[in-house]
Amino acid sequence: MLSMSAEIILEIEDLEIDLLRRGGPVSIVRGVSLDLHRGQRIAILGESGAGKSVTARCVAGILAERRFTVRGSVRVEGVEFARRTRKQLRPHRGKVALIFQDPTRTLNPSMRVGRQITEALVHSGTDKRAAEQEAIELIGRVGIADPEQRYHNYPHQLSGGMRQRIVLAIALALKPDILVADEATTSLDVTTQAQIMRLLSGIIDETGMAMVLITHDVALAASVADDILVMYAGKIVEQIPAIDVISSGEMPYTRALVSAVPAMAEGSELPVPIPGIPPDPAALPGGCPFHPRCSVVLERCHEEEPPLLGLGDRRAAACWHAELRSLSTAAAISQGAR
Amino acid sequence: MTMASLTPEESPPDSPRGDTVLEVRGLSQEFAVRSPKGGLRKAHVSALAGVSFSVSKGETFALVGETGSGKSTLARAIIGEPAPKAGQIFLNGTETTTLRGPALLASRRAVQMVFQDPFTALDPRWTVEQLVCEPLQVHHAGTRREQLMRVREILSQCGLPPGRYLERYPRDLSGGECQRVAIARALAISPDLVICDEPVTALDVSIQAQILNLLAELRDRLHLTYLLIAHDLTVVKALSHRVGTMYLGKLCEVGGTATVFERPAHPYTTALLSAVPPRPGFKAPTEPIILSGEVPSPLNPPSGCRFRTRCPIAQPVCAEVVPEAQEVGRGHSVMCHFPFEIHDVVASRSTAAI
Repeated sequence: MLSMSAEIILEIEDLEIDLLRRGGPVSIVRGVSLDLHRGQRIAILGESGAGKSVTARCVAGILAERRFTVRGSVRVEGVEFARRTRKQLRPHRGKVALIFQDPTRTLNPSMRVGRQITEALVHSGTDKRAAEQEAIELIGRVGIADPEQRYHNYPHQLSGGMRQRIVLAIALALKPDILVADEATTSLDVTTQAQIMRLLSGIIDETGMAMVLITHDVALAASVADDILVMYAGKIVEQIPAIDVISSGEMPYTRALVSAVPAMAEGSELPVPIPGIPPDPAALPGGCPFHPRCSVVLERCHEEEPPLLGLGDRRAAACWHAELRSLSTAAAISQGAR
Repeated sequence: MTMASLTPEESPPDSPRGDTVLEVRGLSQEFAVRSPKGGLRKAHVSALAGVSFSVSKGETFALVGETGSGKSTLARAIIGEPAPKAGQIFLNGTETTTLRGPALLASRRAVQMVFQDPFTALDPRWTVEQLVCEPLQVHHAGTRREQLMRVREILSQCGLPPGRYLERYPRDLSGGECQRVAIARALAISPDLVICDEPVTALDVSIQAQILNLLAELRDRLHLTYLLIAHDLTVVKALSHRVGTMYLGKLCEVGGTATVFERPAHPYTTALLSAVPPRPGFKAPTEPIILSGEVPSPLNPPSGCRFRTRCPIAQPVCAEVVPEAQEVGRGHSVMCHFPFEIHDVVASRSTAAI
């Protein structure tokens, strides 16, 4: 578990990202702020289109500047990443490593995997001759048997799980301070997912790297992260310690996400779908963007968008109910509303 | 959306419970590949090795297992694409493996599939109406007028008001809507068996829940029979009555979903269940068992029990004798020399750790 005294290595302040398209810019990230400490694991949870991946790409400094405009500030170890060109960021980019969902598209199919790792090692300053030895060590470290042999394989000769391990080895070769895993285990089998997540936790404990896990799987987020940030329509709508997310989410959206997961409880019950679909960022509903799908709408939800309100204990929520509840002293009703 | 009621508590499969829609006996499938050693010799991948099971009317039978375990190969063998190398498939009591010509076409009408990725399953240049109508045209089901009526009927049953959707193209639809169209297309000619191959894997969580509810609702309303293929065990738990675990082309455990998930007999099923991240109200049957290594190559499967190379409780006998299916409970059978022993081993390991 993190100690709050740990050094802050990522600081995002009022990040706003617009997607430039014909017909005008569309606001897809609308004011995200967060701090990430060394060794901390956070998960960003939300449906497709919530702005999770764009935020992650901005943190990694790989947002295509022609298609997006960025306002606000993203500082990685004090270095400003927002509003910089890709070229300006090149010397700093190794600080943040990004792993995507599909390892097949991340790896170069015509290059032996070992070479792809040494390429990253050389980029982060390892001597060319030492790089091969180190790459073999990395392949072993991410849990692949016969690293010397695998070094010479092409991606197509490896299984999906092994390819994702190679991607992880490339990411680690950069000795990043922050690892961003964007749905990195979504396409893998549960058994492989468990292996890779265990491996990642081990590496984090060892190196003090911080992790940002981007996922729509509540259960995975709860089991891996320290803290969870729930995103909806380009904003953080709830911040909550991971151990509490399943039982005591404040925001109706968080609770809806939890109930949408098929439960493994006694006597099978079907998951409860969230009605409707996520809003189109170009035409957000007025007031709270979740209100058309919310089961406990107040009058106020139609009119005014709730701010993210700190609730103490590493918790915050953007919901008028949370505000009402924090105003009233009766803590007994805090679980209610359903 | 209305919640469909589920009656998962299985009447055991050995008891007579209406008609058997699908019966598979000793199904094997092999593919010729170039020998990994090079040269002109051919090698054979044994993708399915003697799989037998049956599915009754109104039942949902789920197949679980890791990538490469043969789940999809089995589904494809059932629709005859490609036809299996050995074994028999009975649909409503008729053997389909020997059918040719018009009889084969007619038998295909009885089985329809829903695939994982709805975007690639639908032709982007066709409207929803054309897409859903195609199976009716292929099988000459009714007059043109009747076909169009049927398209409207099935679309509204799948939660797509025909007035708003008939003229739209897949690109105008969200992932969930596309999957609804794909389901409507599969159901248009009222098949006896619907094979759902990872029907919600490509969808967002909230949409997953919608599609799962739709599948359950349609099943109960139209008395459908599903063969569900999924690697997400929570999906299997939510939708299926019975479950079969596949490993390297073998069906290693079959039983009622509730029974198997509560107390699996096969160490592989146990490991799969223990790998599911904790969910609301779910406790894995054991401490996590992290399987080491990868699924061995089906080119050269391990001798004896195919799971022994990754099995935490393997004994010498496992390398020598192929385990036969044995009954361990009502309608619960397992191919393992040491059924249930994994639980004792894990229990003693965790007490030893204290």
